[in-house]
Amino acid sequence: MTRRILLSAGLAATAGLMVMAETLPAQAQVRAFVTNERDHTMSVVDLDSLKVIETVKTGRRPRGITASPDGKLIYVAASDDNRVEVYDSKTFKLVKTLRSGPDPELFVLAPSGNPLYIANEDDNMVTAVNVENNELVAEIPVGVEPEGMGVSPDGKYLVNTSETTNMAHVIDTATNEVIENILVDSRPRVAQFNHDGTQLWVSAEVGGTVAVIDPKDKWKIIKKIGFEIPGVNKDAIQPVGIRITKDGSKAFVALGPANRVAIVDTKTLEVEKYLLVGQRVWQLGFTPDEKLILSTNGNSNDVSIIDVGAEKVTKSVAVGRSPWGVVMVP
Amino acid sequence: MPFYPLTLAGRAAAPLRAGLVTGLLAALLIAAPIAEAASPAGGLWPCIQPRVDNLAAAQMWDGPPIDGLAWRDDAAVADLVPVLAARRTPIEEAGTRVEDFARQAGADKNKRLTLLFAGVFDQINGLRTRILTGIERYSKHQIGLSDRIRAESLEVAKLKKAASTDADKTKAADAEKQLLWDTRIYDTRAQAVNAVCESPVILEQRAFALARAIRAQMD
Repeated sequence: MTRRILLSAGLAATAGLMVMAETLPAQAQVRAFVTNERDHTMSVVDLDSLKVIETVKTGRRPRGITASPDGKLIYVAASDDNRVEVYDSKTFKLVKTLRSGPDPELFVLAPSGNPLYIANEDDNMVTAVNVENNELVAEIPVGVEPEGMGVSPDGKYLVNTSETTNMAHVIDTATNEVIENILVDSRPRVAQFNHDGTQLWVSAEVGGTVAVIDPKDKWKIIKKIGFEIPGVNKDAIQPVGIRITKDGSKAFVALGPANRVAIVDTKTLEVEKYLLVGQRVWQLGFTPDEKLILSTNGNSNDVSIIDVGAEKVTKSVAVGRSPWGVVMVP
Repeated sequence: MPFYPLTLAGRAAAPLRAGLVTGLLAALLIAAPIAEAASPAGGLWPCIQPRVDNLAAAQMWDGPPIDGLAWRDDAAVADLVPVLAARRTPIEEAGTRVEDFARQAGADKNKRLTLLFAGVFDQINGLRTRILTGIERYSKHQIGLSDRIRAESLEVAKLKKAASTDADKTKAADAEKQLLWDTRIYDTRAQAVNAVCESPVILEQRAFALARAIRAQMD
């Protein structure tokens, strides 16, 4: 039996589309853009039909992805091509490329839409690029292996996490200088402000925690949120992507190979619920109306669609190999 | 010269790496006694992926616990499990088989679907564990082969230098031929290692996809 199984075994990925029988709220023309790290592509998912309507060839190893505030442009970090690619969100055509510094992984756009702040893992810098004319605005030295990038809603503070020094560096965007270093747990990955700028959340992938920081009180850590899932080894709980609702009530945290998204009450800072999504859940993104949140699942090669109100996974949609990031525009 | 040293288990010579790897794994698995399944990783693990001894059901399943369930006692479950676990069953087809099973499962549907997952998990986890052992044996063989290549290359150099008669020259040429063959085997196997290492990942993906399909049928 065993022998037969293996002899017949194909190495094709088994990305399946397993559909639960539930309907989704209508999302007129909303499209999700998903970077597929191993396919060097970007999947465009129509959120009405929940189908991939286009697969766009990108530069090599696309990871970080974001959209311009008006939703017209999609920015993609093509890590192995050392550039940022800018796509038209309607035609899916490459509009231009931007400088990025070496090995761009994650970036964040200033709330105004310019500049783009890019973490350069290889040279311990954050590069700020003017998205209009591709000019270098600043190169800011930070900690070793800079990774996560967050910007405060007023655009005054940029936060970069460094993987090796286990710190979140707070940068004043007026002077482009580091004004504070916050020690968090091992391998900080993502930094995310809430919408009124009263909390900064930083996930630590290896430490297995999320630090919630008060920017108004000397950047002190209010709480480190831990996660426990019965039957899942602690090592497998690796917080990465974070998204907080605009009303500030709920935070969603992607937990990597635990294959779960945690829903956290932002007042009590307690985990309310864990949702089983896909394998190695990495990043998250809301629809513009925040009725849905999508998770990219790097090992099951799909995105899970979560109904924010019902706190339920309603569907999974197969995309390319190793989906990394996701952004949605109307 | 067509040369596919890894086409084992009676497979026709296939120049594709996937075929090669599949054949290799099959051979390793056949030779792998289950008793070795728990052997420690030591320094033999050749993969970038960390060696995880066992899959955790909770990483793919949020239904009722499956520990100690006697899934083989349910004849329909026992029949279906190997079909679902087998990688030759396309995952879409497996999904349809799960739906059919759920339709016919009767009043105990949730309980029987849980049994079905228990069986799939057992089967795939067991297979995966044996593959891990096989990968380590593969790695051990590579280490042995590289030692042999080192010795052979020294020997070839020595023979060539000392060769004065035709018989000596033939001997040196033979030794050199052996060295080339061994190097070629080594290289081919080294190229295959990434794909070999993907094998446990693919099994985990399958277990996850099946868990999701089964769970979706539960009320």
